[in-house]
Amino acid sequence: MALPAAGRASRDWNPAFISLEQIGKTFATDDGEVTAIEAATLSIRQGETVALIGPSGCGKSTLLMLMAGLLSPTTGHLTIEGQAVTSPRKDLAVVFQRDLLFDWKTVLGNVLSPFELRGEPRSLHVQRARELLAHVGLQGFEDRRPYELSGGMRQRVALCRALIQDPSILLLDEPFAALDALTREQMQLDLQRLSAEQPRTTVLVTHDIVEAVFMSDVVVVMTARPSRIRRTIVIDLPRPRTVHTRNLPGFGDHVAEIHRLFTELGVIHG
Amino acid sequence: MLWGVASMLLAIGLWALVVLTIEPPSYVLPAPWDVILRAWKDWALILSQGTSTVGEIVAGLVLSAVIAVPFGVFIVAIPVVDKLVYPILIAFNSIPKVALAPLFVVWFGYGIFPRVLITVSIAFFPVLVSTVTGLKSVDPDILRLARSMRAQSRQVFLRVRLPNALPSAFAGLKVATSLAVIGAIIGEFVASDRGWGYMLVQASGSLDTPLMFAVVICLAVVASLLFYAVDVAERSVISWHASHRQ
Ligand SMILES: Nc1ncnc2c1ncn2[C@@H]1O[C@H](COP(=O)(O)OP(=O)(O)OP(=O)(O)O)[C@@H](O)[C@H]1O
Ligand SMILES: [Mg+2]
Repeated sequence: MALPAAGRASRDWNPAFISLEQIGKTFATDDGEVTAIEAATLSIRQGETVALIGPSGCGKSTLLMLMAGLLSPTTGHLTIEGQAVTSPRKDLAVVFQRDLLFDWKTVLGNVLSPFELRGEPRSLHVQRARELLAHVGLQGFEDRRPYELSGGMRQRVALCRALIQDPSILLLDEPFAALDALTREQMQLDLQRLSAEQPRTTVLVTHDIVEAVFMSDVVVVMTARPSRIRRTIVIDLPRPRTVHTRNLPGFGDHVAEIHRLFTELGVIHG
Repeated sequence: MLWGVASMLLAIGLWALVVLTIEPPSYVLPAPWDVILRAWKDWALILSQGTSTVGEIVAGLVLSAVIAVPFGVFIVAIPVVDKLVYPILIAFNSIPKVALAPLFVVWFGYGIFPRVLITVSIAFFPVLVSTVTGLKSVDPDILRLARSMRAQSRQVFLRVRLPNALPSAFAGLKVATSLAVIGAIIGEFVASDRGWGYMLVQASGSLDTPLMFAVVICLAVVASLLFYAVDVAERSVISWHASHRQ
């Protein structure tokens, strides 16, 4: 029932939607075992936007894959709506760190590919696909192939391919990393608008502290490998976030707080 | 195109130069003009014999593709077949197929069938192996993506694995094109009373080197045209692939 605007007040009574209890993930490699995540405990409430932030290689992508049901945890319990996650849920969409577009399909074909791959007719969704593409500034590129696009444009196509599934859980792995600062800011606003149409739980992996604070209700700060969750910070800035949000005193405070945390952790040092 | 013509003229020029300076006997190395005159004299014979050779090459190549690609799909689609049959095929592939040609004569005589069979046995494997490799080498992240979309495995095969395999399959087809030419000629060496391969054997017997040169050049032209045709087909089918982007 919680909406994105619910903020801090509701967190105390609102039950966990996605719940991670002492989650650990170890990969077996040729040179022995690699512990990507040691023991992560985290609850995400329905409708929230949560940012995962931490140094490179700390297991952010791994954590996202676990929530997606694409990897299974080595230890601990992971539940969504009280049910153990064993495979990808019906109402979930993922944007991967690499855009993973299908080279042989057009931009429009890529956006419509989820339906095609499920064996459903695409025709019902063509209109919506065009709208989404126009939303992210790709009008007129519908019939191009991915190789004709820039890195940032490709990532936007991947985002549209996720959004067209109208997921109630959206998992985003650094979706804006390949964008320039201006386009990135626009995309942050667009994603918020597109998500506001329907309550949606979003988990966003990012390297960018400002982006994490701007987009989220909760920022989860992770330590370097073997990673743990260092702190979860509730961002109680009003929604919808606008171009003026960055000027609020609370905004700068949160950014400074996270920055200080990373300095303490030795991730950033002078 | 211009460079192609230039390099061709250069090669012929060098050839002529060698003939003019060393002056070898014509049955060792005929001059370019000797070859042209010889071809001119018997052009009807070369042409009529050529139809049977070109027919074998094209039939062998088309059959190889038409059998090998679906067979590759079959192998990858059914894991048991993959484990059971693929090793046998790889073993069979290591046999020098030329060694089979006399055997095919024993089994099937001197008709067109054994010759096409030899061609297919040589051209078949590169298409099969490259199709199988292409079908198997899908980026694991792409498969993950498909899983996150709850894709049906049949659709993943049709819409991800198959297009993903096309560049590799075409690479195999190009190798097969050159091998089909070899196969047809070997077939005619061993099991024929016609064709350019047969003409080569005959001309060799009578030391008619200019005719041999003429036939070899015709073969090279046919092989190049065929390769070019496959290349054009490839360009139109997988224009999205890295090898064809401008
Ligand atoms: N399939 C795998 N096999 C072995 N090790 C893996 C595998 N996937 C991830 N790892 C290891 O787990 C750790 C975490 O990887 P992960 O991709 O989750 O990091 P990340 O936080 O997303 O990093 P980045 O910010 O650079 O994307 C890394 O040390 C990586 O080497
Ligand atoms: Mg990552």
